[in-house]
Amino acid sequence: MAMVKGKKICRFCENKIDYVDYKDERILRRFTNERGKIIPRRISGNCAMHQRKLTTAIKRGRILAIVAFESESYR
Amino acid sequence: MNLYETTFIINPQTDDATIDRHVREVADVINKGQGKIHHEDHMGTRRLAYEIQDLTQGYYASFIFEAPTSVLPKLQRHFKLNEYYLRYLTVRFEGNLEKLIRPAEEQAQSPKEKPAAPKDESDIDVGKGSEESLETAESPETEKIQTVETEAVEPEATDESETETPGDDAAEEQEL
Ligand SMILES: [Zn+2]
Repeated sequence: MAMVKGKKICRFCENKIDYVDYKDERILRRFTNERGKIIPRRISGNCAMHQRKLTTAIKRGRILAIVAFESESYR
Repeated sequence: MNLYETTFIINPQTDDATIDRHVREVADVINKGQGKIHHEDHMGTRRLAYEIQDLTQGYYASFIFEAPTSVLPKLQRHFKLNEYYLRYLTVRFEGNLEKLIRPAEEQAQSPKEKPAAPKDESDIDVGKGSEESLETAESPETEKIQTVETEAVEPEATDESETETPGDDAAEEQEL
């Protein structure tokens, strides 16, 4: 918990983004790590509502090959 | 009548006219099923995040439409029957259609009339521009993430598997 410095704010709330588009590769990438995993909200600082929307969007994006399910660049 | 969004990927290894025809076929299915298309987006050829049928690129297009539920199985069938659709996904559209159809102009005109709308309108700009704001915010974040990554790989893996519940859109999903 050493990295919990300052208050984490939800970037979506901050920018008043209500709808997370599953076709928006940049947004989806921003919240997944190199392995393609969804970054947990304890790290990203997203609020529960936006994390939920984001998770749905990322999963949809995976189906449509906009982001990868997983990338092998691990191990 | 519900609002839906269908996004699909067409095999790009053909001429533009053929691709366009395949896009129109989808529109036809919607129209014939008494649906009404409100918004159409040809995103064009994009790189695929993973290979599909040995292809690295695909032609993306999407429709936002209002239609009776009976259209959905027809769409599904159309996509399944034609192998040039590499992927497709139809979901209930949850975004703001107004924003898509009438971009930003309103906010300048009537800031008082609909206080909420212009506010949202500017958001869309922010949404697009937000990349910068998100970007700038990211660099310190990535550092943090890496730190966490090394010391907490295990819990993170658990997190993911929890979130990774099947269900939601998996129904729409074709064999992967
Ligand atoms: Zn939020």
